[in-house]
Amino acid sequence: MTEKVKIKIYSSPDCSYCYVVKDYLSHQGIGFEEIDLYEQPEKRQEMEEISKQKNIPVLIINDEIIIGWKKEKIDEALKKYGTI
Amino acid sequence: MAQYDLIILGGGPAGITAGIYASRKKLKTLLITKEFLGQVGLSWRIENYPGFPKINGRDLLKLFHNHLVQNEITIQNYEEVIKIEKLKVGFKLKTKEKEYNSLAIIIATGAELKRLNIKNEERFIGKGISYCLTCDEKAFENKKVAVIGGGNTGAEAAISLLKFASEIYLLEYLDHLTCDEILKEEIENQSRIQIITNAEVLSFEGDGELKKIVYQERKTKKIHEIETAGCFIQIGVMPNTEFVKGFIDLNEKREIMSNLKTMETSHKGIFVAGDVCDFPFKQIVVAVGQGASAALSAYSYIKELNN
Repeated sequence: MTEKVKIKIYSSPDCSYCYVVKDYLSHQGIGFEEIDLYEQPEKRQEMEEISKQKNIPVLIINDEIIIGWKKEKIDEALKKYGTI
Repeated sequence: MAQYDLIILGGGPAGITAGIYASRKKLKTLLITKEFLGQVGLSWRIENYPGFPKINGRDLLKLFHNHLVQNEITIQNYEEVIKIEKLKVGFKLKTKEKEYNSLAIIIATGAELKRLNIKNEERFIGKGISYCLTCDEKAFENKKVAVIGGGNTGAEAAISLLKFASEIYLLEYLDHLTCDEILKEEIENQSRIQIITNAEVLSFEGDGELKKIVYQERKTKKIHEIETAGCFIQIGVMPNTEFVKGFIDLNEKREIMSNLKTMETSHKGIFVAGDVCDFPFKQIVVAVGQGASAALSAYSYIKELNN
């Protein structure tokens, strides 16, 4: 049975890898919440605390944190929650 | 199993151009790519592609992609070829998900950013060290930042960082910057960019986060330290050729050796284009030209095969 999956991405409009991660999720037909750090700079600290680092994109799939564009890790997490 | 005339591997400028040319020759073409990005997609400013005096790399790639999809071509995005096998006629390509057959192949898999592979580099990734300028430059607002690599990418990174960083150090291993003269001039006119040549970076230091870069001045052998909160490593690229190792001839840089007249590799029926081949100048305009040449050569090869 598919668990409820909450997907959130911390990104910025200039970030090339953010664009790829978002496009990949859309390609899979998966919705996500986007936090644009240009529009909401105050969220950067939250992102750094959650991921314990500074680089973006930071993708959060329930309790899994994936930094950067890592297709295999994203697929693993999505499979774990029955999303793909 | 799906059978194609031509399979193109790679979604950068070379692969996309090859796709446009092949589909206009009415070849049944499949383009397989890990993603539409390439080195061009990571570039924040391109000023040497004719017709576009100044354009962001991702915007240019989007224009290329929009042009590609107007043609009759099958695209498998987010798939990666892991093996090529020779058949009696043509080739079998295996990805993690599927298998495909084709008469000819164009490899345009580009290159990945190189790492320095020095002490504490891995440890400080995300804690000061980044390889993606467009992703992470804003994290260093009003801070001191270093860029390692004095080629075009490094020079452009240093210039871009002027928007955010308080001070920028540009470190180069050689005794001179290797970027275009026009970039060199721009950098030399910026008081906030300090150029350090002959610098062999030895290690990154800090506690939880990056605090210092340690380098040796290659002439005097003196060890120096730079205090910095961030570091962008832009020291060139490594070709994506692991999946053809032992199958196609590679040079000492692991680039695919090519006949620059036909873009054919050591394997008949397999062509190459862009940063992954052994041509020394890694430029978008060169990749585009090679993509066209490879597609036209593949067309001639397939036509001959079918006669």
